[in-house]
Amino acid sequence: MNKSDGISQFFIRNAVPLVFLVVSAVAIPISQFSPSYLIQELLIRLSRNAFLVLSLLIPIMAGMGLNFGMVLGAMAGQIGLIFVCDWNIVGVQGLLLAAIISTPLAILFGFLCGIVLNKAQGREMVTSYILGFFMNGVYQLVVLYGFGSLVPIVSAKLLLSRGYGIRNVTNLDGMRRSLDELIPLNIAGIEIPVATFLLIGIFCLFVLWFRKTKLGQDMRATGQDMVVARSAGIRVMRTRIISIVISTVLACYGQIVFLQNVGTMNTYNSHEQAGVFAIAALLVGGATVSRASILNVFTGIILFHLVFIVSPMAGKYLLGDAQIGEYFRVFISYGIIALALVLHAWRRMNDKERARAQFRGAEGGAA
Amino acid sequence: MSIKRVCINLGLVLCLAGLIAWCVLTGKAYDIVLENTPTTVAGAEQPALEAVHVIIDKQEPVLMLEGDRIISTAIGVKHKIRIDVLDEDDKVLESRSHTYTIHDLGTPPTLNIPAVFAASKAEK
Repeated sequence: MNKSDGISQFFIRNAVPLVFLVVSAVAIPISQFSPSYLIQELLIRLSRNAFLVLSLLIPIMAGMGLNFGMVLGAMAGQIGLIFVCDWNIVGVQGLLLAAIISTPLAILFGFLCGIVLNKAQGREMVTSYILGFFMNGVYQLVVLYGFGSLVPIVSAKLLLSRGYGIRNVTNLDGMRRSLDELIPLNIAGIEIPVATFLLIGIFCLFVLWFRKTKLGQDMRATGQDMVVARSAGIRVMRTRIISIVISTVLACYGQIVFLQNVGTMNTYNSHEQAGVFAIAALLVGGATVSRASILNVFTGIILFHLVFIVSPMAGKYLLGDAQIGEYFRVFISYGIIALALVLHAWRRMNDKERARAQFRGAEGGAA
Repeated sequence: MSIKRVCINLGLVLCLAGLIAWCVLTGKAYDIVLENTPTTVAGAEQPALEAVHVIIDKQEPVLMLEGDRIISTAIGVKHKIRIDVLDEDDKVLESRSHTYTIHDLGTPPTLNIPAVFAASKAEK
């Protein structure tokens, strides 16, 4: 590979983060936000989203692509939060209890998701995406009709006026920012959610440690080549299910962390956005369907949310309408996923062609 | 399954149960009715206090005038209430504190401020 090939490969590999970097560099001065405001907003969004995005790493390692099924974990987390709100348990204790309640649910959802994805090898992403829609229907049925009738809910604040079903918006006032403000730290007027970052740090260490374990190595082997992994004695199907279960459980915790920061829960919609935004952020960070690292997670969240923060104001100053920026945000989140998938397919095709050309060259040389 | 494994699993279950109990005991929020109305304690009439600051645990002080009845929130089972009797200029004349558990308050949990004031000790 010559130098120009190397440079073009670098640009191809990092096309998405570079585009975002350029967009941010142009939009920041136009938006006229102060650096302290931008830093504060970025810290909030980093603490809010990092857990969710990190939960995507393990299935990628196991070769299952982007886990759109993480919304199942988010649903489990929300169910836990509904119960905790009903029992009126507040603060960090409420979050902890919600996590404890939702863990078995997330394990069950992850297990079922893993079984389905094993049946759909090679099409895991689209299957998990549709599975998310299917489970969304089940979730809505249970929460809208089962809660308050089959599942006992006593708080009138949560129930619809008809006596069963949970209201559209669940107020998490008692838990709002309870983790973020557990260890308060204020530097030059910028509030830093130390406890949340500690939790995220522990999670990062867990991911690093997990990669070195026997199970982590099995997952990497499975991700690289399932046939080879199977011949090496790895229980491929079991390994894949475990990766989805871990991801779902972590997504469940991620959704709890996310919602405690927001302070309100859109009972029927909050989980829907979790998957798309987390995946878009990861892809913006330079990750691909088959390769992602912790660095991609943080780069992605910073770049993606930087554009999210500045685009409405930049749109307002440029075109006189903040709504343009809002459209831009939605366009970006879905567009970037499409772009990353197209780039992935294109790159894979290129790699195959290059490998074939090399093989032909070697064959020709041998002849 | 070996005995060692059973013991470890049992330990984990106990830890989880302990954690759940801790979360419920220390994290449950109760709505408490605070009333500054005349009452009778052991046959003695206790008149309502003219103006008091009521502080439950480390929450913000709540100003209560004679005849007021409000709902406050307390988190956990055991609480300390401090009652500051105020003069006309809102200066503290006397402070008294009292410790109670939520189960002492009946259903719905109600705290009669003059009764608590009479039963509690003056703060140094």
